Amino acid sequence: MKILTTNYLTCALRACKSHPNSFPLHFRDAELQQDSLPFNAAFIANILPRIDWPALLTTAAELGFTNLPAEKPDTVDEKAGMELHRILIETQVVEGKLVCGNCGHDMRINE
Amino acid sequence: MLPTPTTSHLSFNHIYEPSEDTFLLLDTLTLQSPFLHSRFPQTSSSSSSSSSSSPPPLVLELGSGSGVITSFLTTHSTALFGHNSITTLSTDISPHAPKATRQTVAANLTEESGCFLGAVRMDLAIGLRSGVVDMLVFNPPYVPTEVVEDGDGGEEGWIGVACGGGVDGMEVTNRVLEGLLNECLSERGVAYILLCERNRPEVVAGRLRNGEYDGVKWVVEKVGTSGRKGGWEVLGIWRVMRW
Repeated sequence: MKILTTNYLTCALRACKSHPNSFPLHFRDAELQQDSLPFNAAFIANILPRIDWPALLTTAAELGFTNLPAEKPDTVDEKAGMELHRILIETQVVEGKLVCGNCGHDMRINE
Repeated sequence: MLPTPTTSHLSFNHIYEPSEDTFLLLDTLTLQSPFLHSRFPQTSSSSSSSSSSSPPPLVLELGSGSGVITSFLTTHSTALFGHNSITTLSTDISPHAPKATRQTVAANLTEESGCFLGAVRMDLAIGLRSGVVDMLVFNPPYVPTEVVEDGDGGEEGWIGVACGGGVDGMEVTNRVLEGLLNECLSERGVAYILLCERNRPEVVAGRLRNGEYDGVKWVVEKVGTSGRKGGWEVLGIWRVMRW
């Protein structure tokens, strides 16, 4: 599962959905795999408006990626784009859990 | 026609083998490409965030099974959408499906493919944030059966879950139409849902247009239909959207 995926996920329990702690879900015992995929600068630039940046910062930090800017950039140069590509597209979580910060319900990842 | 993704790496003991219904969806999606081009144009990379109105669509397949549809959309992104700035994601309640889907996507991926985000084990779209899905594709369990199986007890196991739709073959599809669709589809979102004759598709379409499922008066059109082949009943692909 790519890190970008977590930007679209929330707790499966209906009662949790409206609670702010249900997003983003939190990785536990995550095992990462680093792929090597072609860099698509246009895609990275275009996906930016879609991203919930504070949630991405939380998720990225939990996985050890702490060098993203605190605010979502308006545009990305090649260096920043490559870094986003590495985190969003090339990093796969292959084992672990995604846990709701409100109810503790977890979703298992087992790839 | 675009090539059908290979699934030669799979065995179909626990997973629905791509069949007439699957292929009707693939053919229909291919014929929808002019519509998809205009609905989901690529944002020019030079435009600033203020003027960009069309970020890469999130394409979600419910019940991906073998993954052949998700793989098709991912690999043929440029032909179908006019660009490869799309993201694809799939869900399935079967424990066997996510791995099969990942394998099928991986086996058919090219340098030109869209971005496959993952295959998640999930009941329909219940763990998705609201309003994030731009294109939803669903080949539901549509065969009328006495009950909707849960995969553990039924003698047909997870294949039974993939096929059996309960009363009128609509019990699972109704769960989508009665709430999930409105919850997960974005403003520009579009859903492609397969229905068979015994689902009474014209009645379903009428109810959708009248807002009888969820209060939304959906724009509904039949965009694909099968002939009457072999033992198969007539299948239709229905396109559902807000405008």
